[in-house]
Amino acid sequence: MTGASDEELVEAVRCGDTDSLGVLVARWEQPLFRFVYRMLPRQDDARDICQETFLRILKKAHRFRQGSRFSTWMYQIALNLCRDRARKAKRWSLLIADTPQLPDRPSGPLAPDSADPALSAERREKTSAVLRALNGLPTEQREVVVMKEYEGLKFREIAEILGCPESTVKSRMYYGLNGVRSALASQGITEP
Amino acid sequence: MGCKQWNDDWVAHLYGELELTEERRLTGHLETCAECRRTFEGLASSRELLAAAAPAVPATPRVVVLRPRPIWSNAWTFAAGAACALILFGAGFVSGPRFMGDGQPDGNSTAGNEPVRQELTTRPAVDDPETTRALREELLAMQQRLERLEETTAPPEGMTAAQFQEELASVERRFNKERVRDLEYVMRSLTASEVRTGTWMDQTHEALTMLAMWQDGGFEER
Repeated sequence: MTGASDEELVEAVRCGDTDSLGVLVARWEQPLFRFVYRMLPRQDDARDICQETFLRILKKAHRFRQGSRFSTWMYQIALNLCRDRARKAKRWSLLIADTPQLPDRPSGPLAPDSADPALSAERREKTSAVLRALNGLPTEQREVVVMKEYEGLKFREIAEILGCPESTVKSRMYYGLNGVRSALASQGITEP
Repeated sequence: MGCKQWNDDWVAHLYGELELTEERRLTGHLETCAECRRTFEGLASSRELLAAAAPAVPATPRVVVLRPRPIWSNAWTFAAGAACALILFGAGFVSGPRFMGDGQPDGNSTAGNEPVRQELTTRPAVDDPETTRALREELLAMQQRLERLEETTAPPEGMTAAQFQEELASVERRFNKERVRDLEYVMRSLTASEVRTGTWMDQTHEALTMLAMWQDGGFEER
């Protein structure tokens, strides 16, 4: 069953084969958690939403349309749950503004790989400013930027997930990137 | 800005999602339009900063998928139990009058087998033909209802999964109650016949007792 496509596995889930859901979970739990965490950067929330997403997949497998892509459907469910969570808690911007998640991984372009503490601090400050700028974007732009930049989805896929034309997605991306640039310029991080 | 019509294409170009002909057209335009070049460089710079500031993601917690309890196994189990109960009920229904009659031994009974305890030979109310018929109809109705439920893999229209489960459990509870009542009747009849004939059917009696006590896949102290 592990060689089956995602769509075949959903069909099996629909017929009551819960083992297939286990295969889907093993296949998608990491990308989904990454996606949700970047949309709603609280580990507890992200974990809950991942669980809820898979639960909904199990419950609503019969509503999965033939010919659709599983990943698109899964991201749609997760995104709706993220929006609901943010709307209910009314803490979308507050959370993100108050608790910027700085990279603390051992490698990466802005990781503190230098022995120079001043340089390291400057990089961390820059990273923090970029994340603040990203979090300050309107939600619809932020969603597109995260899906494109951090999840590497195609514009077409993002359009399917959001249920809007591809041109709208590109437009949101354009304004999102410009918004980040303007915010950084206003903080003196980059040139206007 | 004079080249707004390119806005969508800038991002597609930035992420390498333009068709080859569009790519060439845009590259050609970039070479001649300083304003667009500046716009594109600004977008590329933002992208670079965003990529560098990618928020670290904590280790993915394990998603636990709980396997739902197969409802049909339960249904089939209690349906089988109910079928046994019906058979036993039928057996009791037929054998009851044979062994108990109206306090008079029938033609096949051994002479001299007088009732030891009169109260045991008293016909229980459930032995009344009218009551028996009503009981049998009720059991059949419930069995048919159960079969209809078993044919349905999804909750019926207008019923949530939880309500559906509750409905099924309710039918099961009622069924079990009736089954226990029937078995008790059979046991009373058996006891009466044992007393009358002086023959003890220990194993049968014990098996029936266990069956009467059987509830939802296990035995409960009553």
